[in-house]
Amino acid sequence: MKKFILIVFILFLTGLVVWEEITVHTVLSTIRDKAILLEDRVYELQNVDNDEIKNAVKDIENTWENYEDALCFLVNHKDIEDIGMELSKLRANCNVNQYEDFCSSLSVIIFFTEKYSHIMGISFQNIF
Amino acid sequence: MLSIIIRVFIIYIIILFVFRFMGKRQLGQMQPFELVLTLIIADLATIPMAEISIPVLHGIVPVITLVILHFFITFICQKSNFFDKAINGQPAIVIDQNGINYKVLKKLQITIEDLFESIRGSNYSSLDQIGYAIVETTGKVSVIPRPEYAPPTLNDLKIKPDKLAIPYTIIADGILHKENIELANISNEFVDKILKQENIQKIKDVLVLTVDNDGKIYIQEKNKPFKTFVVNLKGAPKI
Repeated sequence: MKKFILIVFILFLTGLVVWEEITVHTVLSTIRDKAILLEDRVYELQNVDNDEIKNAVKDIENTWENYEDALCFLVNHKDIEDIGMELSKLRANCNVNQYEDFCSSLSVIIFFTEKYSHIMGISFQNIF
Repeated sequence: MLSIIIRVFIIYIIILFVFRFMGKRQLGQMQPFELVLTLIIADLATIPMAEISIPVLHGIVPVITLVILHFFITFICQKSNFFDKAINGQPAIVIDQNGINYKVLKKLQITIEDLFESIRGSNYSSLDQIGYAIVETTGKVSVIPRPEYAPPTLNDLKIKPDKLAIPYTIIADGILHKENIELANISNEFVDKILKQENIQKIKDVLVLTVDNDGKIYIQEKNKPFKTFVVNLKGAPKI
């Protein structure tokens, strides 16, 4: 019985590690890729008050909302709340056409998505 | 607030399960690595309990990892004598036929006063009564007296011992323990018969009822004095 429970524990941990790696990596890289694309487009247009940008912001928000619950199981909420906060600022800046603030929020989102993988991912430095 | 209550429930149940799974040991009987493990688990469990921003999994995962590690180390200790000595240490003789072994005592960082305390705890008052004193890996001191100071056994006194009888708890605090009825080799009818004989209407009125292999019954009704008598386990009570 104890052996069985130990095997269940080991399988549980293995499954959890795989799930975490896949989920966190997928979500953060998806958000980062979308934010980078949006950043490039915003630099081209030099304007954030248009439907294309608004739709792109909505798309990032939807993606974040879809995965946020799963992330909360795995990641310290404080580590990801900055991303959610900056995402909410994007929409507001879009509506009032605050180009600089919009770009600043996008940079913060890209920074946090990259930083999290760097800080929490499996690496020699993070283990020690 | 409700989240914290639910989290505490979850973590409490997991910790309870983990400690039951790791086995029953009292604090003083733990090996050094088991004590460390217990302290770490206790500390880890409190983090996600109160801090709502930390996922419960961040508390559960290290606890489960420690449990796996614990079984891994225990397994290796069972298989390798060398590893067992390295992890748990080995018993050390602090008193032998020549008296106190000061070198060992110093190595173990035990004072003479500590040693005396342990000896007194074993009901010996004088060092000359002690044949050997051994500091076990758990830190407990086992005292073996000199033959002339050892308590006499029935064998020494050439007395024939009574048959070994274990009392089985059949009813405890008004609850019938069916598994013990089987172990005691009696039946429900037998229990009913005993209750009827003692004028007890319901099982829940019984504080305790035990039966041993020799048919000795100990029964106490709630808020009443106890009674003991011997019965023939196959038939009606003798007295």
